[in-house]
Amino acid sequence: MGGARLSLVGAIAPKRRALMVPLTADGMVPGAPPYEALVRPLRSEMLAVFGLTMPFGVLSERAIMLHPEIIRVGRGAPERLSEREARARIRAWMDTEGPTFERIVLLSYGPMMPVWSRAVQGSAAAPKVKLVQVHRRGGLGDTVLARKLKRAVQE
Amino acid sequence: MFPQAPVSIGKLATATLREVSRGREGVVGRFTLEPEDHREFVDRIGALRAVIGTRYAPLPGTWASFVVPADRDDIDLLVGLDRTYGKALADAHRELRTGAKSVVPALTVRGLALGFLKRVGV
Repeated sequence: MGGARLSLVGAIAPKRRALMVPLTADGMVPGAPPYEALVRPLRSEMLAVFGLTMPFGVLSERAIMLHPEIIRVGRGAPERLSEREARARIRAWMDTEGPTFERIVLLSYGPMMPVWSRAVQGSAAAPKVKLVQVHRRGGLGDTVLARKLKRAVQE
Repeated sequence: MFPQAPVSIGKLATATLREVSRGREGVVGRFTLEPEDHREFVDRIGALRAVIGTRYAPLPGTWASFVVPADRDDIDLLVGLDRTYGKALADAHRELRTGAKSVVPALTVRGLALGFLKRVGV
């Protein structure tokens, strides 16, 4: 996982913003170039980065980097059961950790979006979520996307 | 809270819920492990010696541990759910009407066990 570094100060300072990145098979994992190209410019002491995973829902970036094996062993479970578990775990995260953030920025793309939507509907922290859409044409490497993401995270 | 039916842990063993204990910190399910192939199980499980009793916690509020029970020549799998997160997860299943029979389903028990085994090179 070259390129991604764990910050000790970052681990203990209070965060105000959360960034949710759906982790899919197209290189969007901590340390991989497409992921780092998007996330690295946004890193700060005030930002906590999380991955959206199937079936385990919201995992901190730190946990994913320390335990990449949990992502691999989670794959292969039946889709219906995976989605159900992901929904419940996303909702549990929203209800426990969601209220601790001022804003939760969700990079909106990929097959987990319906799972996310069903999970957060009705959650008290749902109004804190700001979606940043990934458009099919530009994709994850779009500079417009990078600007929108920066604005959503830093404003 | 935990799956009542046996849970397959890959090709290594089957985990069966033996007891559930609740305390101030949360709830813990104890699973006995029935090997698929006893010789292979003994060979591979030897690598767990260094991590017996330690916690594997890659998921929020959820952890696993392999332990040696005091009264049996076995290795048990413990799966624990922290109090606050466990309540939130149970509430989530109820509010979302998931229909799940277990707050910690078989796929999570299996995932934690297999993840821990992969981590230690078993």
